[in-house]
Amino acid sequence: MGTRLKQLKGSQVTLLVTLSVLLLFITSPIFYAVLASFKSNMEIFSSPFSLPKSWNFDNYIGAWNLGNFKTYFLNSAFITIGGMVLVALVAAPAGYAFAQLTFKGNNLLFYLVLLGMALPVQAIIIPIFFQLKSMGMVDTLTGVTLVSVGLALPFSIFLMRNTFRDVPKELRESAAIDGAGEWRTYWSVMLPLAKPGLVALLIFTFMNIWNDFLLPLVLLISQEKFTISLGLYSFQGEQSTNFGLIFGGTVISMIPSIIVYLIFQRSFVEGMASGANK
Amino acid sequence: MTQSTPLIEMDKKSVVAVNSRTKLKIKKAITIASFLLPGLILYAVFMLYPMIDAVRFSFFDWDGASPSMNFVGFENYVQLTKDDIFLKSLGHNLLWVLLSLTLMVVPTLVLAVLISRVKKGKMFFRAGFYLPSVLSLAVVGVLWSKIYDPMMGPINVFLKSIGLESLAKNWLGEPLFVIPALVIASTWAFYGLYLILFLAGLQSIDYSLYEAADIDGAGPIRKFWNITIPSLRNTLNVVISMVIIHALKGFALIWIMTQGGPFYMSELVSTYVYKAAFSMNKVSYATAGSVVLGIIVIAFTISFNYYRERTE
Amino acid sequence: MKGNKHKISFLLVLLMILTTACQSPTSSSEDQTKKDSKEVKNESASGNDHVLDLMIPNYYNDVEKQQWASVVEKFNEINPDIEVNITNGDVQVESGKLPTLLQSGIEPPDVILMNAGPGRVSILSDVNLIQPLNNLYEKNKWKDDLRTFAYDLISKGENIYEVPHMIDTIGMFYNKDIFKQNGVEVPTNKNEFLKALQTLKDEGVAPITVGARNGYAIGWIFGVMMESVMGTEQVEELFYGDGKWNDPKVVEVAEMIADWVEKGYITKESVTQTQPDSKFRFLSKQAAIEAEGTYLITDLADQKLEDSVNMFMMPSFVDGDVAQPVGGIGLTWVVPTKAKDVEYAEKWMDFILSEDYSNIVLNLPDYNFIPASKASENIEPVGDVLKTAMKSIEDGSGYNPSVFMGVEAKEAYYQNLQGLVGGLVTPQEAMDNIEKGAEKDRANGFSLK
Repeated sequence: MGTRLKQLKGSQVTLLVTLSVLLLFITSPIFYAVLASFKSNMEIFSSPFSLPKSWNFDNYIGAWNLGNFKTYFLNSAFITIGGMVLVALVAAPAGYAFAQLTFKGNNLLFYLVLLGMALPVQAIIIPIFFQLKSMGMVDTLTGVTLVSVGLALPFSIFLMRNTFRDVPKELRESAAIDGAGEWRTYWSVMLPLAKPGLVALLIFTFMNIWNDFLLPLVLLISQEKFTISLGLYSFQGEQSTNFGLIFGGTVISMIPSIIVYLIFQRSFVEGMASGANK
Repeated sequence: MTQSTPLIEMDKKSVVAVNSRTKLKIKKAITIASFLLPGLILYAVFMLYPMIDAVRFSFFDWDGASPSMNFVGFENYVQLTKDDIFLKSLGHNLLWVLLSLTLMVVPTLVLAVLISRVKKGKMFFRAGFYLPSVLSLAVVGVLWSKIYDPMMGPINVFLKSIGLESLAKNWLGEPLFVIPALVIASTWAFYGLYLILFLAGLQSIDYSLYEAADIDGAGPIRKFWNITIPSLRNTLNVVISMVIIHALKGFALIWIMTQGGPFYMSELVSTYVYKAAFSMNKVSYATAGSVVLGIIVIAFTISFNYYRERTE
Repeated sequence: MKGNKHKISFLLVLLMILTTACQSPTSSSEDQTKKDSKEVKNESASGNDHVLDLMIPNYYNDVEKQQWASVVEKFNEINPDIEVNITNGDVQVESGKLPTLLQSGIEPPDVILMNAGPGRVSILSDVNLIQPLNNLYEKNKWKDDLRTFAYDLISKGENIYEVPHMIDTIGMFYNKDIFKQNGVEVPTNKNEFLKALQTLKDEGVAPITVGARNGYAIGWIFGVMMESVMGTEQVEELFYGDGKWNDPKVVEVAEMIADWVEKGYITKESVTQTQPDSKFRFLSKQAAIEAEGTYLITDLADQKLEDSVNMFMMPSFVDGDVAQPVGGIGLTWVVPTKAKDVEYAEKWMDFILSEDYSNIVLNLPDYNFIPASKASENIEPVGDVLKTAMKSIEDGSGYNPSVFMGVEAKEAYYQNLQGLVGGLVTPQEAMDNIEKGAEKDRANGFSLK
């Protein structure tokens, strides 16, 4: 028994070492970017893998000012926060209706929504552009927000429907007997119970909108409305050989996603696994 | 207004019970609508309607600006079948699918099995390995185009420093390497999701199966082949279909790293269509191309789900 | 326990939403002048409005920004009651951004400085996004204010839609130090030129760097080569006559560029290099020659390289001929159909063509454009490189093909030249492909004749 335990421990150690090395290898591009963001161009070239000679923030300051990253950052924040609020306000009630209310055509409508999950954005991006144009909202942050929400809806409604389906129907019925209206039941009884799903939804929406590239690329024109992804892309075009500055911008762009991810890591990953597996 | 008066009168005449029942019904319908409509309207305006528009545009000859549109029937689609570059990009999409499948599925599954064996710190590895996936594709694209840089990129600097100058290629510039290089970057950006799906799948495998196999004296490879893979069939199905769909939809990374170049060598349908629509004014032609892509993806998704439901 | 965790994470989300939601209105009001152009314009439209809204290309460096500031200052001296509001943007037709902006229903600027060329301007004028300026031309006698060559280029059609801003002059820029170190003189004929490339190559220096990832940049050097090998008139045939892209003479140029890559005259990495990459290599003296326009001058000033870089024209390969710099009109002013203050736009364009303007800019040591106005012909620029460039166009200028092509041909031109540099297509095939594009353009009604 003792040897067996030792063996087990031994294999655990090899496993941990293997995985740690692998992890280091796979995340090395990120570390490389972070290190490079503190180096001068010359240093990146001559000693790409060493620690920077000095930890100065010149590249960050350079990207922030020269690359307009401040503006991009605020634009992204506007679109992302707006999108999160809208998705929550709109997808949660719809998911609730599909899961808990009985009405004619429930399934049919739901399949119609599911259709959107199969549809690739690339197939409809051109008409979306002209649609938005006819609404006078090309090159506006509001326009991008609305389209982002529209595109996020199929999955969001699907996720919220699954969440609300796990809430027992009796709760709703007893609230109805107490004389609460449907909306009040929703707000005060059902929604609190769906919090885990809602949190997962909000984090997904954050990641999707914050990281989106295609929509801003197509729908935004003036530089002062660029999101951070688009800004980084155009910054790379202008400064392509200034590796230090580019990596400064790159690290600035990745910080928010990484922070949000690290805080909500658990509910995010679990929501992801359960959402996609259902 | 004149029309509504008789209606009201009719209401008055009708039986009270029916009246309150219809009222209740209407009230219920309004309630349900108030839950559903905001979402459905947004969905209809920004997804369904553009979808119909996409099909409509593709039957016209339109440059995106002129007020008039000429109906041309299937002409755009006929042109597409004769368009060498479009066909080439479709081919690249397929190559992309094949490469993604090999690079993404097996290594990720092995990694997932390794992580699932960890007793303490499983969460740490799960979180760590997922990290690349939280980065935006713009970040991934910029990062990897610097990594592949022929002069200053770490790969070539490293190769040159150990004397393997001949292996230091222009990774994004040579026809043999450009698509594999892009697929590697894309794998890096996407494998995290599949890893998590595999981990979730592995968790639900009945542990006693392994114990029974242990008693039979089965080695790790046989256990993997005879227990793990069959138990993961469902997850594998999901992952494979997602890999394929993702591969068909790729755009951002290619756009950032090569824009389809050099000389169409990494052109995918999505990049080709984007260029045609937004820099060459061939709006309806481009839309036809994207409709083809959309049909492929949807057809694949539906038939795959059908297959899955039947085999389950 | 678990419920608590969820509560905490939910609170965090809420907190995040609240904090950022509170920030965003302030941020938007702070940047409102820039961001919500609609609102600002509404405000100014209702109040007493003396604002001229200009849209010009994004600044590539600080030098350019300062130059524009001094230009605006002079304008204000002459027109004290007009306030000039500059916005920067993507002024290319190719990226689709400019047409989109004009179509989008957002109130457009009063006058726009865009990338010129008949193929580009016509995209906007064909669908009435910009207005004809014939009346303004008559009223202000602008015809007499423009260099003849410039006026000829823009007055071929029924209407005139633009006021040329500057003449593009693309030639070979070279690092003086590299030439000197390797004993290379500025070549004056075909043999000297090819010998110079070979010498540089043999000495281990990268002779020519090209940013082939960007179509326009690979187009520059190819245009320069076409001018040298074919001569201005034969190139002109391609755009204004019956010339074909797969004529043997053009294929010869394609063979030459492929040959140069093979021989290492053009560096192999060029195929994935962007133009900024290539420029950086050139400016950091990792390559001897780069084909560029005079835009480079501000970069030279920015990097303090004015004294170590100059330009020369690639010598003509045709006996007894002198190659001209290639170009055409580089940037040009257009007035959107929906522009609010056409009057101010008129004043501005008149100012651009005036001697006052030329005096200002040509006396800036780091100025990078040759003005299109006649007034500028008699002023000697202070900067050395610009002096060289201006002298070289005294007898007119050649064609930068990208500017004169229709969309299909241009896309094929960009891609196939990239293919040539990458060794991915044969010269004959490449030129056939471009001709196919040109045929499509002709079928779509594109013509400069």
